[in-house]
Amino acid sequence: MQVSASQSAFDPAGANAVLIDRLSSVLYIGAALIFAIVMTLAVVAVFRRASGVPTRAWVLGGGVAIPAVVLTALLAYALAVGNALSDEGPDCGTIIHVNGKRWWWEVRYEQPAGAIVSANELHLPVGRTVKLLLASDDVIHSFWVPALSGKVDMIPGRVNHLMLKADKPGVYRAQCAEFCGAQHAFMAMLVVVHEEGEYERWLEREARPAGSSTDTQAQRGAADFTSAGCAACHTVRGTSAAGRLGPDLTHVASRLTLGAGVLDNNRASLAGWISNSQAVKPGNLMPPIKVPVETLHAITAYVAGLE
Amino acid sequence: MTDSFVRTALALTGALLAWAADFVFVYVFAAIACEKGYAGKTVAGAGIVPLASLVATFAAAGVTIWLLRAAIRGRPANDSCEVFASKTKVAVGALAMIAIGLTALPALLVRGVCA
Amino acid sequence: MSSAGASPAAAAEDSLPNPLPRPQGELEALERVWKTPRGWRIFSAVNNTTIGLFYIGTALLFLVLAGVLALLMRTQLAVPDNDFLGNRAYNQIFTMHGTVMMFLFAVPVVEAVAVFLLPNMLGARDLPFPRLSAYAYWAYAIGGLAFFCTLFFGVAPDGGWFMYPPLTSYTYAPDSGADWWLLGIGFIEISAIAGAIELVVGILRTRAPGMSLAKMPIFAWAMLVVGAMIVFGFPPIILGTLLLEIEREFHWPFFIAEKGGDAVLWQHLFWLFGHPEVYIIFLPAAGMVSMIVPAMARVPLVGYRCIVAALLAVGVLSMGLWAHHMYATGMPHLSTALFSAASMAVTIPTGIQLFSWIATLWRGEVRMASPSWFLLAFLATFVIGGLTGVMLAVVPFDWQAHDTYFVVAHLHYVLIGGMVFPLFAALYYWAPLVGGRPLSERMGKWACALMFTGFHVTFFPMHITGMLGMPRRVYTYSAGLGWDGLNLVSTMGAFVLAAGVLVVLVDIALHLRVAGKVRANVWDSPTLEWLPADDYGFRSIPRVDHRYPLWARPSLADEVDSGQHYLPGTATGGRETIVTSPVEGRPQYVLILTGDSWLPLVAGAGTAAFFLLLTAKLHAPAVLGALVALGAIFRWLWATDRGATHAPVDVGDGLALPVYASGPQAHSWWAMVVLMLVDGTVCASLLFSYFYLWTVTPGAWPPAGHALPAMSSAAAAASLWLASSAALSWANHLLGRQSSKGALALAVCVGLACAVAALCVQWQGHAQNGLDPTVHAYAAAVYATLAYQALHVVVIAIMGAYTLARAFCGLLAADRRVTFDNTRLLWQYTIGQGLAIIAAVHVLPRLAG
Repeated sequence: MQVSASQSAFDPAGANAVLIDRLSSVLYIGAALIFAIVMTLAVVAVFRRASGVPTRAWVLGGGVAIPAVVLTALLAYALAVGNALSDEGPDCGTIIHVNGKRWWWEVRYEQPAGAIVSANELHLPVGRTVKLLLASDDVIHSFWVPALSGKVDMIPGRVNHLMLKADKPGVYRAQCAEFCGAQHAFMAMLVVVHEEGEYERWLEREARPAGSSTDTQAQRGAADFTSAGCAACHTVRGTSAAGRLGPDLTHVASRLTLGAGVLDNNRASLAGWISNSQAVKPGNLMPPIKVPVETLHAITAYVAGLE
Repeated sequence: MTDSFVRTALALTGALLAWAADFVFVYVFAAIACEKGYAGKTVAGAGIVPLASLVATFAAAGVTIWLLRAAIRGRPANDSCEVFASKTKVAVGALAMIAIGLTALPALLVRGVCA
Repeated sequence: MSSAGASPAAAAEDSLPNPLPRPQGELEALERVWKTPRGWRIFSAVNNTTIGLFYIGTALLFLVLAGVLALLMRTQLAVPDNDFLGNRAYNQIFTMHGTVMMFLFAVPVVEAVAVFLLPNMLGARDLPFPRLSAYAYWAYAIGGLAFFCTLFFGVAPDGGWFMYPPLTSYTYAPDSGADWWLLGIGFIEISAIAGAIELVVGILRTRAPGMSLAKMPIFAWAMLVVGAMIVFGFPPIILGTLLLEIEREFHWPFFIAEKGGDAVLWQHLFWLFGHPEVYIIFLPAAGMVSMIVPAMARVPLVGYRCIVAALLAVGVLSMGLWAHHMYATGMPHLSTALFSAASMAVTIPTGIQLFSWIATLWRGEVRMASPSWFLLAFLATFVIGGLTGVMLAVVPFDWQAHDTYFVVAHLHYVLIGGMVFPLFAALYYWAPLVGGRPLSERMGKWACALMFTGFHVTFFPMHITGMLGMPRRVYTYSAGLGWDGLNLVSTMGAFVLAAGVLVVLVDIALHLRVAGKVRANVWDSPTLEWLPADDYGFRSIPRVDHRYPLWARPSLADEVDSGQHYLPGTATGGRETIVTSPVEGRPQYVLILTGDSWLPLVAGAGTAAFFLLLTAKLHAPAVLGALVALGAIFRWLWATDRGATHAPVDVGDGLALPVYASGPQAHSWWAMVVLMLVDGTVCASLLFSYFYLWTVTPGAWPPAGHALPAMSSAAAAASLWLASSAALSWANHLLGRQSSKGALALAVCVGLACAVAALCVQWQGHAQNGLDPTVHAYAAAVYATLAYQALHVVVIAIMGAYTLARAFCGLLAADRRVTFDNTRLLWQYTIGQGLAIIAAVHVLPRLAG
């Protein structure tokens, strides 16, 4: 994988993740201290010679009083952090729907001119709170981009929400965090955080339908795309391909990865994926496309041109 | 100590059962209020969910304190079984009070109840 | 009591229950009646010692099997993009690893240790229902092994050990794997409930005379709380598995959102069980630690009463933590906060136990031997697990750590740290009871060192791996995410851990002998299980007046073994123990125990066959299996409830105890009460599901398109239930008055007819409205309550028929009525349940609407 993107909660780059990271540090240090104290007592207790001990103080102090105080403080702190996380912040009306599917992500950007449908990559503006509406069409998935926030499950029949604000531009990695079947391990995606102006430009490009290519191979590929059956599952806006079973491919070539974070996006990977995605992601719902080699190259050229 | 198991069991665990009733009540009340949309309602300026939690907390704490006092007061000197029972009841009561106290914090501190 | 000037020995002898010398042949008769069968006949044994050893051995076998699965998983995860295991194989393996460890190893092994240890620790000769434990064991062993074999046929479940729908429902898991899980754990549930009955009745009613609750060993307190937790904690999963299986098989949409169900309902039901389950696993281990620490430190346990209070607190508090496994599902923030609060509250009683142990160790002079080394390993590991548990209780932290390797680390720290290390300490500590000599000290130390090192090398890095972003349950991962090195380290550690376990198994194979007569208080321990014992338990049942009887009375071992305490022999020619009062431990009657028999094995095999064949869709053979099981059970029951076959027995101290009791004092009454509590909790879980669906259904209830039958039909049904109850009360009255069998039969039949009619009226009412359980979860829930009620009507019909059969064979009378009493208890419970269902389905929606 060439694209390097952080999936670490230790590298917080979003408002939520920063708050949780600070809380985590308190927890790690507190836990380490308590462990050190308790284990010192235990080891000393085991290895020293018999001696009397004010037992009431030990059991009541160490077992009841101190934990009660510490836990009350911890709970209050935890609830305060919870409050901070649910502070919605200035709502600038940016709403993005993410729908979990087996084993990919449908992403819909709500726009005044009509929703922009995409897949397997999430684009966000830096510094702005975005409302993600999370749902699933099949089984339970979970949306998790550790560098930006904690996770929220995507449960069929309900819509959960997550307020997300990225603090730094960059590329971060998200991965499904609820076991969803055969290819749960390869249901990932990249989250691209743009500078402000850049985001508007990206949205504008993404909203456009697919352009037509001047390359003859790609033009042939466009026709083969339909005859090979790709249009039954995939949509390419601006053409007759309007399938809804698989990811929207209108701008697939501009994405950083293929197959929901499995492969780098280049011609070779694309050809390999189209001809037999089962070899890369066995059990995924896209069948191998058995076509003559020239057809395969044509379709690949066409799809690789869908920037 | 009475040889009735049911009475003994209830006496020993009474305070914990008070906590359990408190917990279940607040949980169910909040869940239904959030699902059915009543959580925003207020009574005398206070949200109904925090109010319900406060009522349940006081009820459970009251029961626990009553049980604690009965256990501390009624402690006979000689019967080892009775001493065991009353000291155990005191310990259980203390644990239950801590649990009741912790359970009261959410309604007091959480801002967006249903968010 | 003793005359002044008399020697202490003579004085002690004066006040003992039975005098010396003992009559000729008394010991031989006792040995004969209790003799463990030899050769292959040992499989017909029901003695708790034999069954306990089988049980522990089988559970350890499952530890090894599931451990091998773990090594396969770690091998696959050692390097990124590995192809040692494909995704399908891996998903089955990780599901089976979790399922086998939790259901076939963890809960059974702690029950097994209790089966082996508790009677002797309490001063009883056996558990109160020996054939029941034998049956529970065989159902578990046969069923569990068959379930494990699904791996070899490629039909093992692959939805994770918690099997969340919709992934595991009929649409996304159309093949049989999920069915194997759902029905496969059916017999585990039966085993666990049977175990709970034995534990609760055994601990409360068969302690040695004088052992009041205040003097009971902490392990017994722990198992009592565990028994109660099984009673209230298992029913939600019993119900959940039934509902999911019905959804898969008949398409009743309990968990399908498009049809009014909710996937989160399964999560509630599962975790309502799942969280108590981990305490069901941990508390027995904590109880074992509380027994081993005083013995190793050679001082009494500090804070006995605080520990009892702590055990009670954990038992109750742990029932309120379940949704801390569900923080990411979108629950209201207040709800997550409540579970966070409760999860923190439960650490305090655990802390009490911890500090009591440390204080005891500090007070005493600790003998460092294998048990102590394993205890240290336990302390270090479990404390870390508990601390990460508190971290996970903090909701925002959990939102990052949930469903990652951080949780995998935490759960192994608390399960291996909190149960396996104490278990191995227990193996090394109590091994002398099995064959008279301890295991190897050298091998024990090596095992502990290897296990401790291997464990931490495996699991500590996972805390980091998880926070670096690695989710759970992934069959492989991409390179370059920072997980590669950590996974390799974890894999290496896993093999070291396995080596440590292997050393223990080799030690057991080389050094464990099973001997008949054992007298080996190797550690100079204070509690009763260390008295000289043989197949019959103790020669006489000790009179107890102290928490640490062997320290308080060094002559106790000789006294008991020479027959000077209670019941030194067999008074009726059968196996016996003494039933005592639940709180004070006052002797009440002599319990004649059932002896060795093939019937429990046959019944267990039939039960396992029923569940397994049903899953394989071989319905006719499955029914055959059920009939075999039922036949064996009835055959064995027929020989019970023999009435007072003997005059009251002189057990010693001038006490003449009857050999039979009926009514609320009878031990089987208590068993029925425990069973009804389980039953009631299943019903409560079902009503919870119904009310939950009501809560999450927007709009009216019943939902649009579904109507309630007229109130008159509900009223008619309620009256019929009450009539049925009245009929049975009448039958009870007739029995007391020694009336004719015909009258009794009439009363029972009328009662049954009313019950069936009540059921039909309700069914008819719904069917007439066109209520279809495949269309909406509301209908499914209503029919589910009726189906559960129908199951009960079938059961009481069978019990009623059985009772009448006994009456007509002259085996039922006013003074021989335990069978009737048990039937009556379940009958009245069924009526109560029927009325509760009518209230929930017919009355409450009308009141609320």
